[in-house]
Amino acid sequence: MTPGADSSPEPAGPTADVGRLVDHLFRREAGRLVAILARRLGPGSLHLAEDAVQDALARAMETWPFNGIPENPTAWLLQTARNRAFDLLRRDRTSRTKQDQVALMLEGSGDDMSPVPSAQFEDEVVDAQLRMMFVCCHPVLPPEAQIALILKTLSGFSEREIAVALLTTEPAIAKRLVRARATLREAAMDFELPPAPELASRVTSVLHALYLLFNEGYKASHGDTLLREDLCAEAIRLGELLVRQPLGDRPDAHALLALLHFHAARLPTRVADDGSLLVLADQDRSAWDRREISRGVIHLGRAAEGRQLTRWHLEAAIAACHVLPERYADTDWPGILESYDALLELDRSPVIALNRAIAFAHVHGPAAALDQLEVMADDRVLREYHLFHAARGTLLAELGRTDEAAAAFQRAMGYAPQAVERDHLAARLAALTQHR
Amino acid sequence: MTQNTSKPVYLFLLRDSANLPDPSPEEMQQATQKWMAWIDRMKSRGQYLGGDRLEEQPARIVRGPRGQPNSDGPFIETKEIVGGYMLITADTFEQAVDIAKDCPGFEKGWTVEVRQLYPRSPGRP
Repeated sequence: MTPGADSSPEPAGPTADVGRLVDHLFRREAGRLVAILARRLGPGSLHLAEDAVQDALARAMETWPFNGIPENPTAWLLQTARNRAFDLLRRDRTSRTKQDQVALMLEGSGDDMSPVPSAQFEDEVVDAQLRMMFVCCHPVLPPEAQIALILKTLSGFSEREIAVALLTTEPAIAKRLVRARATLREAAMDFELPPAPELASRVTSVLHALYLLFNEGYKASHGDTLLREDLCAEAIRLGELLVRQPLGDRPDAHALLALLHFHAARLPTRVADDGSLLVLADQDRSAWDRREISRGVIHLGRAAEGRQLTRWHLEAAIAACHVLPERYADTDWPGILESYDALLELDRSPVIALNRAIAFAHVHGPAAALDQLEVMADDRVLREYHLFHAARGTLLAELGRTDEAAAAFQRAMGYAPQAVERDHLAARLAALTQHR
Repeated sequence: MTQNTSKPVYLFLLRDSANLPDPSPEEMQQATQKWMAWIDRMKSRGQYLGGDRLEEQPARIVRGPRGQPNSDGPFIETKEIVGGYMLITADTFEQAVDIAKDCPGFEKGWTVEVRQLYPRSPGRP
């Protein structure tokens, strides 16, 4: 036998310890434990909670391979993080809190090492995460800070991962988080739930933040696709956590979740194997995630309970019209147009008007839709919006006005922010000139 | 450490460079999984006898009973800290070295020193 012949990698047996580490366990536990510790210590100690949890995870990384995964990993991590937080506080001479007070503050259920976390502990985790969501989405914080804070404290992302996912730099994210934590400290924020009227509006701002979080992950990009899809998954996970609570069980929350699930169903099919973008008509419908679609349908049903009609209801209805038909040709364009009409009533946004015009083209033909686009051509936003020029190019091409269509696609390319989108437009431009 | 084999026993001294930025939870989980997979592989072949991580602090190098405690750790002599050890068995030293080459710490700047223990049974070199 050649030396080392049997040290080549081979799959470990089914009883192997490594199999007990479920995907994203560390990241998920990071979010849960930061929420719990911060809840016990107060939002002013957010950074301390983050450091303590980081150290606990590092310790797990160092010792679990040698000693095995503890029977109750959560309890092990919580105790380790708790001890670490206690050490850090004791070392901090500026801290005026007495040691025994700190120890008492850090006490809680789930600190015993019983193999299965108690139901009481799981309730505390959910409660802590909800309160953390409300703190992260406090109106004193700008939306981009809210998203970064959610990813750091609730989702266990590092600053580098947040920077990659949000297509910015690590120092920019670090600065954003420092400012956000300082704002929370200055505002002397606590984890008490706001009073009833404010609570409802806070739930709304959480929903907005989750919507933005999902969109960040959903944007087409050459970035780290997996990490960006994790943003979508996090938005859905936190949204599901919210709607399972009485205070979050609202029609608009269900509408948002329906929308997110419908979009998530198509996530894997938006990009071809060569990395190029695929429009809806060209996507492989058999590869759409049926489970996501059926979850979306369930939430859409719950969203219809009550008389509330929000933009998410309408957007979810549009998304449903896109994902439910078996074939692209069966798309219910009149239904989509109707939803866009209602959406435009709620929000006179030029981007919604543009999307409505595209639906309008499918119902009433390209010439009538083009007339509508020409009216919008001077709009401050649309003028420099690549999708406006791409839509114009598409309609002009359908009408056989090839030269004008080519010019429109060229303008679109000039405004497209992402290389992958420019490539897509270049391909359409090339197809246009071939048909000439 | 019991040993039910007549094969030679080797010591792995795992040294950590400890100069890396904080890894993210996801990266820490990936590292944990790689280390577990490595140890599981050794276990499944009956090569792994035991091992542990070492605390970074406290650490001191003691030089004889009257030696000056002038060094608060092994770090003055080397930038690398002994972060753990393992005892493994292998047929030959070369095989032990090959097992060490699977250590997932290399990408993070770890090194593994492979040493052979004195044999316990007489008659073997």
